[in-house]
Amino acid sequence: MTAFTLDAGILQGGAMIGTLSPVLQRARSRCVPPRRREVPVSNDRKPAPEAASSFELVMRARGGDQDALNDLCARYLPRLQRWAHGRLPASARGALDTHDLVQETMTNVVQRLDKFEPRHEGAFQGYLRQALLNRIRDEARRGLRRGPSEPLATVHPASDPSPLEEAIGQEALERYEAAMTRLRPDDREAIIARIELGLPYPEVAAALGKPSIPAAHMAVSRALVRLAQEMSRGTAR
Amino acid sequence: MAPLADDPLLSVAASISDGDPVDWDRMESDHTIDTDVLEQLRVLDRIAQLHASRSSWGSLTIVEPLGHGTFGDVYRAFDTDLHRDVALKVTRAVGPGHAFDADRLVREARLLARVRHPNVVTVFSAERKDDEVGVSMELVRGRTLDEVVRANGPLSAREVALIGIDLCKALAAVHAAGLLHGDIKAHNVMREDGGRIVLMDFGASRDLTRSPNATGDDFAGTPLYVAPEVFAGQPRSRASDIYSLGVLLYYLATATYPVPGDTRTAITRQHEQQVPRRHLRDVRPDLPDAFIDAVDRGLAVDPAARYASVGAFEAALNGTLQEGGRRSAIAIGSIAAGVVLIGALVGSAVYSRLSGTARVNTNSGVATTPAPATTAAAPIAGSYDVGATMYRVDGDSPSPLRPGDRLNPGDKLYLQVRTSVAAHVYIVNEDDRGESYLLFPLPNQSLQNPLPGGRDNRLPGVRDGREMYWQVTSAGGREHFLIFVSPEPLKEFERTFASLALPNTNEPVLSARLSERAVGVLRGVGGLVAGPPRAEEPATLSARFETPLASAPETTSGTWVRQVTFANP
Repeated sequence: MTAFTLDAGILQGGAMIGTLSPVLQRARSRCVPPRRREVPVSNDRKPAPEAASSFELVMRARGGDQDALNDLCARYLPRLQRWAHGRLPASARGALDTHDLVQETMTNVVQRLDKFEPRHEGAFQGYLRQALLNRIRDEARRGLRRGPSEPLATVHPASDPSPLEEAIGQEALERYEAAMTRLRPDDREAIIARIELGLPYPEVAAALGKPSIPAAHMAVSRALVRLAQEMSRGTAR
Repeated sequence: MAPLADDPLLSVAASISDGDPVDWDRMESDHTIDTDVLEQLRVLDRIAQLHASRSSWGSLTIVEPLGHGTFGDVYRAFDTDLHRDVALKVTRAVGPGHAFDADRLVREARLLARVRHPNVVTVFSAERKDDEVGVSMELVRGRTLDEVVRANGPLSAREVALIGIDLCKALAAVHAAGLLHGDIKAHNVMREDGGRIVLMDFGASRDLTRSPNATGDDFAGTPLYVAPEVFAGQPRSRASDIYSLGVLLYYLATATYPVPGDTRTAITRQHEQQVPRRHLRDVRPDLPDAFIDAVDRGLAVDPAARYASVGAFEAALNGTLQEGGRRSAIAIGSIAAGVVLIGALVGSAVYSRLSGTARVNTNSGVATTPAPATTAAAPIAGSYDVGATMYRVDGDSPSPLRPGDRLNPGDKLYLQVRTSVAAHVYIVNEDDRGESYLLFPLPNQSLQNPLPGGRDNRLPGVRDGREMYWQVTSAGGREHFLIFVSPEPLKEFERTFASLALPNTNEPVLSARLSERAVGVLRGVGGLVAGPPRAEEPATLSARFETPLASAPETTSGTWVRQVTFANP
């Protein structure tokens, strides 16, 4: 069906046409469960070899390797879905399945990998996270618009709070996000890997390119302090 | 992880990273620490905790919470071993005095895992960890029967009987495995988006093979559904499951309960004083006698007066459907015939598939061949009225579409349907390339089947407080809408529809892209044809296809089917 979509009356009347979610269709056709079983991550103090291979997966997926893409999807989708659940206002969660949103975003990111030169896996995670955040903000903006001719109200318009916003407040969340953008990439990636995605330390080490788990632990701790300092500067402004 | 004691801020950060508790009071009293930064670390600790909320259970990665209760939570989770979504129910001990028997929960989940039945939720695994038991099971997407009744009101006798038959089959499988369900109620039965009825939540179940004659207080379940003898102290039994099923069917038909009450005490008192229950006939005098009798026997106060088994209950419910003749044969025959006719009209893939599913059904012993078109028009179980009009919304004003009307890209459409009885409506769209899409019912919409009778229903309906529309571009060729209306769910159809793609939601292409796309894709403005079948159609076809979407309501029976075509000039 090339001709129909569901329109919630969120844009100018007659101003949009729809397709049958080609992105989603691509995602469904591309993100299929890998044939190989994933090996559980060990808790020893060395980065697990399969965790280290995530960066290789990114690079192989970038080169068009379907198996690598599937492995990446399997590895990241559940984590990103959980991450997205905390960020989506209830209204947006209802309008669009979190699973589909994450899957679409992830597929889009992978399709654009040829324009992306990741230094290590953490950079890929940061790239994914930013794409997902942008998408969620788009959804929140759409959710706020009530009528077909109503103009966009604000930049951060969430009419109902996300679980994260509900817990720490809109102001603190904005301060956090603003400080995250000012952090050095390495620090930001450490926060994303450990604090936001909840990766175990071996995977954090692999994602950040650190030689050992204590080094990864130190990197996350220092990043947290720098982030808190940035947020503190945000309150002083 | 060793603390980084040399720098207090770094030490706090390390604890946050490790998920360890931080003594904030002690830190705040340390005047060497920058209090502003410490305050922000406290915010970060909260953020970390939120992200770290239960993230896994064994090989399951928790995705999002689905429900929360006193004794546990239900999550959507991803099985990283098998790469599939599952539901995970985690039951926990809530404190002293609460009968939390982890071993029993695991044992019964394992027993339930042996039950293989399409109307029983499939259990994949059960595991105890400390004071919690996690049971993973298939993820059923749909609504509970309680949600269905609350949204749409009481169901028809026919639909209640059909649901009852499915639940009898489910319970027969459970009982055959040596289990009691123990908590049959409308909240614990899901109507999956595809139409399947699924018995859920075995939290109050009991293993009859280990404790066939429980002693002491065996009270469990929801008081409104609990059998009188259990209130009197007798153990739960298959007969008490049958009583609960009777209450459920009563509720589906009336949206009330035979022995109502707000508290266990109030309901107990009514049972003890043998207060006469509200008879089904008094609440719904319009229901057929056979249906009332079938449900009433399940609700008998004396367990011995109830059905001897759920199989007997199922047979009685089946009997109510046979009233007035060969109900099943004619109904399925009519569906098959309608499908075959439409298939002949447009030769489409989805119709062929529907035709195929109907044949599978007829081969299952109900009817051997699809009935001819003339039989399809025969009355099934009383007639009902259907009125359906397709509207286009221009600005705020909707106008009905008429044959020959021209459609423009971006036009928003909806279908207004009014039936004299509660009815199931299905709308399928198909293009010339044979790609098929389900336009109704859709997940996450407030309007779901069955649509209430006696009022105008606007499809696809409302989502999150906003009216939704189908939107059109004319991409050349033809687009066919097929509209099915039936007083009862078309289960075989629903199974086929469940595999169809859904229209995309809130993925608009901005108007700026319209012109770009129009150059390469659009072949001009589409037109609407809601006319009679094509000229080459044989004259023997059913008359109801000759005037799709009549201007006035039509009186029909069985399954009402109409085809609307959008075609380029």
